[in-house]
Amino acid sequence: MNTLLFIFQLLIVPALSPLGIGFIRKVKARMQNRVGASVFQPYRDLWKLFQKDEVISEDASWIFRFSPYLIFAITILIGASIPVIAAVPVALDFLPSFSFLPAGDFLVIIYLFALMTFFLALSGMDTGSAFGGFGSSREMMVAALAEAGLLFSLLAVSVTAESGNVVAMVGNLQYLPLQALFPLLIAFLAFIIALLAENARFPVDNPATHLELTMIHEAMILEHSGKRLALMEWAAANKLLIFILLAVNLFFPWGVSLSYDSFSGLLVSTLLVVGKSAILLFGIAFLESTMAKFRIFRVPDLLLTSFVLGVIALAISITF
Amino acid sequence: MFEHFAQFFFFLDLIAFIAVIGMHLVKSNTNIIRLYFLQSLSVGVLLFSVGLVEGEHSLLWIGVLTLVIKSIVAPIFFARLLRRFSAQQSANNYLSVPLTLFVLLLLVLFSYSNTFLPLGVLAPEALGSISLGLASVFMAIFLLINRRGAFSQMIGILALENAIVLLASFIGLEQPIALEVGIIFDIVIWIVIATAFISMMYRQFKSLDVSRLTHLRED
Amino acid sequence: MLLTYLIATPFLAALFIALLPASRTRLIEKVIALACGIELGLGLLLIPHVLETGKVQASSLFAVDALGSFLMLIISLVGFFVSLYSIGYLRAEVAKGIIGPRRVRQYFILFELFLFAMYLAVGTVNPVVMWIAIEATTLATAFLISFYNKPSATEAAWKYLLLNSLGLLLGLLGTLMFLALPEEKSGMLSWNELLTLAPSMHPLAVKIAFIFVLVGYGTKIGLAPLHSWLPDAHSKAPSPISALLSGVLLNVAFFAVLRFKEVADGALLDTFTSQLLIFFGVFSIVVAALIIFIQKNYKRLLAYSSIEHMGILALGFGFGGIGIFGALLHMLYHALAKSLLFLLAGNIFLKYSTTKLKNISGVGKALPLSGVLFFGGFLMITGFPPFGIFTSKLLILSAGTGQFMVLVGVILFLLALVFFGFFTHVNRIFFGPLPEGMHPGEANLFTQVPVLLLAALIIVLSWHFPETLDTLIRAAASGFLQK
Repeated sequence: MNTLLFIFQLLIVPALSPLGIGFIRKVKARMQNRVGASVFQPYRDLWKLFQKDEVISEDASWIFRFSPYLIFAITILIGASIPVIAAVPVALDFLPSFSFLPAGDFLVIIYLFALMTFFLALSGMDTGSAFGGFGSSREMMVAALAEAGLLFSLLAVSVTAESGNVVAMVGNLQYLPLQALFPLLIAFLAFIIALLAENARFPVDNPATHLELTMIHEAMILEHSGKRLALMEWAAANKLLIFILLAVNLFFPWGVSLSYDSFSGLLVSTLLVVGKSAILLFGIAFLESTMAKFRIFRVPDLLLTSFVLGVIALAISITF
Repeated sequence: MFEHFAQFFFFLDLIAFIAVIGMHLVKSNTNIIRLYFLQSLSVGVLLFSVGLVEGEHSLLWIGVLTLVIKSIVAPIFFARLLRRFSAQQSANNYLSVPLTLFVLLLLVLFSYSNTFLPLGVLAPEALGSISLGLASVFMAIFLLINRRGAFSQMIGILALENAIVLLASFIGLEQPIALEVGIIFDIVIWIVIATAFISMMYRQFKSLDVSRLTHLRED
Repeated sequence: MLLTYLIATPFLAALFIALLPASRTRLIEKVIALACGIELGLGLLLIPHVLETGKVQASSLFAVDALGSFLMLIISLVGFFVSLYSIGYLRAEVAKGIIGPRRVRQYFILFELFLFAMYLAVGTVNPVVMWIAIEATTLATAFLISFYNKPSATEAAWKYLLLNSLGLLLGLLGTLMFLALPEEKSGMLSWNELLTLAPSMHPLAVKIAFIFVLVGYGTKIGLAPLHSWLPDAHSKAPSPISALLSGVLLNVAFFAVLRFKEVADGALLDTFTSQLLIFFGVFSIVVAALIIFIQKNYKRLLAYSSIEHMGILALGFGFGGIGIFGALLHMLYHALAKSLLFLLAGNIFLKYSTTKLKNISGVGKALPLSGVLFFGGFLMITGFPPFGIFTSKLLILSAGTGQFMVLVGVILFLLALVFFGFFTHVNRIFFGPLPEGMHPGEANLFTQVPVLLLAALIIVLSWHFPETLDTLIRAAASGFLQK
């Protein structure tokens, strides 16, 4: 039984992430009065990309060949460590010490993402293309500033929940009175800004742009093709879904099941998580349809706001 | 949903707090009005709910009055004023955004520090709300100092008054209806006079940018 | 009863004037003169009653004790002279074509409302009502300051409105904290009830509340560093209004601080409040003294002098002991002398149409009466013997010689600096050639008689201090000497 759950946790995030991307695109299309592609289109795009041939620049080194696998693997690892519909750490039946629990520590998650960004930036520069280079440098600036907001918002949650592990946090937060959770609203604002920055969403970056000079994330994966491109795109979708799940499960933890035993509990939990994620995804799509992207010099101000909001949330939570 | 009403009140306090932070960061006067509306809404709802919970009819009426005047009449009045002078934009700060944020952070830490811990004797169970309210007061004062536009400064005073009313309700002060009405009446007259001045200033200086008012330099 | 009439008269006068058409200027002037005469009479009559019974009660919300009736005396005295002078001043301005009858009527309505608010603030026993009344004075005077509708006046009025409202809101916060400190919190606590409940208040919380009150109302008083609005507002307003602002309103705001000081001292039993007052007092004197020297505008000069004198007041109340008696004396003398100076400044302005010092010369020749009185007024305000301010300053500084010898020395030096600065300015404008084309002579009767009477009053009071007044001040001071 545990093995099945283990495999389930491993596969659930990669399986559902293209759906998340598809949902955002569908909402945006509807807001622009178009019908838009089906929500399952990203699956078809990935399938198509996996079939295609790859062209790799002669100047690319081993980093270019290696990074997509590493990046994708990191997203699978993190996806397996976070609570999706149940906040339970699972391990293999025959190897109980092999569990994803250690990877659920929020600092580990943040630094795994940082590792991912590092290799992403390197592979962007690796082919020697100018666009990849400046995409990498912009990505480094954004990531460096966003990390502060991300860190402090999660730190505020951690302090309130008195635990460092994301899985345990969800459990603890459910039992706290509402009053202790209110300062987390401010942390939530900080986290959302960090989410938008890390996932290359508005108002920091436009994921659908085709103008190279406005790209950040897209610029770094410009030179990829075929299955490596598929892995990069998939990894980006995974990252978005991970952030969304963290946002809904940490800041609004009610309803997340605490065990895999009760079927009705799991059903309620699934519905709630899907509902909350859908609201958040809708919110992102709404933001993208109504707001203009910030010019790059305004992005540090935004990220600093996220940082300060995170510290304020931390200060308020500590005194409780 | 809320176990005690204290949690609901704290939630409203938080909303007002976030509104004041927002007032520092937005760039257009219309958005400042919206945030003021949000803050007044939370104050009015708070007064109304306290009246409901404690069975004080006078507070109910005060809450309604606050809601009507500060959340409905005042923002409409201001919006019309802005439209008349086309001053919807350009609400700039003296300090840059990062420095502003840093000062806001310092103010929050200051109000949560041990300096103001003695105020806890006023209402021991609501220390968190008191600290939050105090932080809102300081941030509203900073808004007054930091903003360049006369209009934003006016909203700063009104936001400060909201924050003080909020803080007063958390330290458990019960005022007779006459006094509360007196204070609200004062604020209404203040708004009337301030808008008259803003119109005068706009007519004379053609702009509401206070840093351009240099006639009073020692010369 | 007396009290009710005293507070109600200005309001009724304002109402009556509002109902009159603007063209009946003479009638308006008569109403003003009558109203202020009545107020003066009532203010004087109040004193024996208060001395007899300790306090005069009009209703549950309104009562005055010795300190209150002392303030009311100041308000009614200065108000009387300033209102008579205003009649003359406005007549001269109308004659010059600067303003019309509608503005005159607006002026007098706001004038009476201003006085009404001040009486209300002093006569009420409820701190919140007092706050509302003082806020009302800000509102009433905002338009009076921007009376001439010049850009600089509007700017000064805006700064005044904003900074005073900020200060008063902080004062409100302090007031509400004080009201919430006792066990049975209520917004309807009177000063006396607060006093009796004072010892049960938590000391640290009282300190925080008092700091808010001092910083908040201190802005209204003009204590440095929150004084930046004062020179602008007091110099751009019409001179009679400046007289009321400097001479009376600052004292009323100080009255508010004093009431809270009484309560705080009852709760703290140490010298916390006094130390704060001394600090702000010294700071104000330093700031004012240094700037007076380089002033270029005579009304700003007088405004900075007000800041200096408010600092001296704070010092007096901070030093305690005989300093309190001296400070109360100082309140009276400063109110009279400063209003005298501002009214005379009004005369100078009417003649020369400028407030810049370098454009004025030969005041001694152009305005014989006003010039001489201005010179005398300058001597009065800087504490030259035998005028009253000399006595009050002496008392205040001697109260400080025990503990703060060095400080007193520094203050003396600064006061000498102020005298010197004043002297150079007054000298320059008094002597010197008459500007060409200017005919010597005053504006009209109403601009001369009040100032003459006021100057005579100051001289009389400096020489022969009435017995009843002495008892009144002692009674008022006794509230602070309980330790």
